[in-house]
Amino acid sequence: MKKFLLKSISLSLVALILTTQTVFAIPNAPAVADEDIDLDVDQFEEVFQELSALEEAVLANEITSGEEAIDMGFEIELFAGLDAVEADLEFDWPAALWGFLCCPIGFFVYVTNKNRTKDEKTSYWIGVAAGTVVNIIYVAAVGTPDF
Amino acid sequence: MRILLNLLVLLPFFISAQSLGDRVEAEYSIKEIGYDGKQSLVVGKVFFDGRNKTLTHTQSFPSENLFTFRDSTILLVSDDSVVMGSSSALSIELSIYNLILENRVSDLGLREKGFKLINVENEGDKVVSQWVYPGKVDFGTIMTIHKAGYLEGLVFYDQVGNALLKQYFKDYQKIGTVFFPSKIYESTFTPQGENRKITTHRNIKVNDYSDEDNFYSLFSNAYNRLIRSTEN
Repeated sequence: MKKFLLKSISLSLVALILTTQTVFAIPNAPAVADEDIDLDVDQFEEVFQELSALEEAVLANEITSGEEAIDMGFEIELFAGLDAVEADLEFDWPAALWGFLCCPIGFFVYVTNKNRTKDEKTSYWIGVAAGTVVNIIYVAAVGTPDF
Repeated sequence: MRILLNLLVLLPFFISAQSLGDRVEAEYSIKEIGYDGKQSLVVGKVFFDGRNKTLTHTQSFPSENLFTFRDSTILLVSDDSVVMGSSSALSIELSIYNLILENRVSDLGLREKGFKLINVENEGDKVVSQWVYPGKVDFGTIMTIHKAGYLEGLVFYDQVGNALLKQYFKDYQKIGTVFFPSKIYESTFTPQGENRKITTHRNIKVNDYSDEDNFYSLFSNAYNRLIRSTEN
């Protein structure tokens, strides 16, 4: 029993040392910019004032369409295009939808997966960049998605 | 005694894998400003059913639509038409809602996906960690920022250290035993410029089953059978 306890403790210590070395060995860890660590929320929100006003109106009045918003005096041009789509790209809308919904996870699924095609990865980035269901509806409207 | 020791060794793994429930329901809005100044607003509700592994969005603005993920199947309902698609790469297991409920949001599954931790530093009241993917990939390091034990930021860099994507998780709300970031700030850096996005969750409910029948009544019986089936 004593022998087993000593063996367990020794193994635990070895595992702890190895883990510590793995964690704190720093092979070329790049320097991190301060602005990447601390987000200035007020500055970020500042450019969203117009959209935030629209958001409040939509929530308060249960608006369901852009036309209703325009009727209420909002002059925001809500984008619905896919400006970033390359002309020869076969758009992979599941990838785009995934990017819209679960961005970091989609990143793992698509960008770190060597089996993903360039089009799929690009579609993912478009999903991230566009980030709106409007685009998905646009895709659904202009053609049947190709699976 | 040996069993007890083995249990002690494995205890952290049991704790980290502890499930916090199987339902998340919330209203959300997504505001976005593109690199070209164009703006977008989407308002809707999200419903995550961990038991059936379905993730559903009911969008109310700028148009009414409904779409749901069930494993690798996607249903998009728009203008009385239904489009069904699939992608083997998709997995509800890796959705943010599932990670929150499974108490795995702290590193967003990075370790699970094979990323290696290469650096940990304290920056004031924050802990900054840097990760790399050991294989050949198109990006560089990933940085996670934690404050008081909660994930506050996530930054992806390219191979020369330029940021590709920044996400910041703010205004955590305690819902039962779950801490949920009600605001997510995001910047994506594309070759054309920076896109900014704010996702806000409201009226967050965790493990609240009262709306379940109302929610599933949105679907026709045929799709209900599909998305509520316990068989994958």
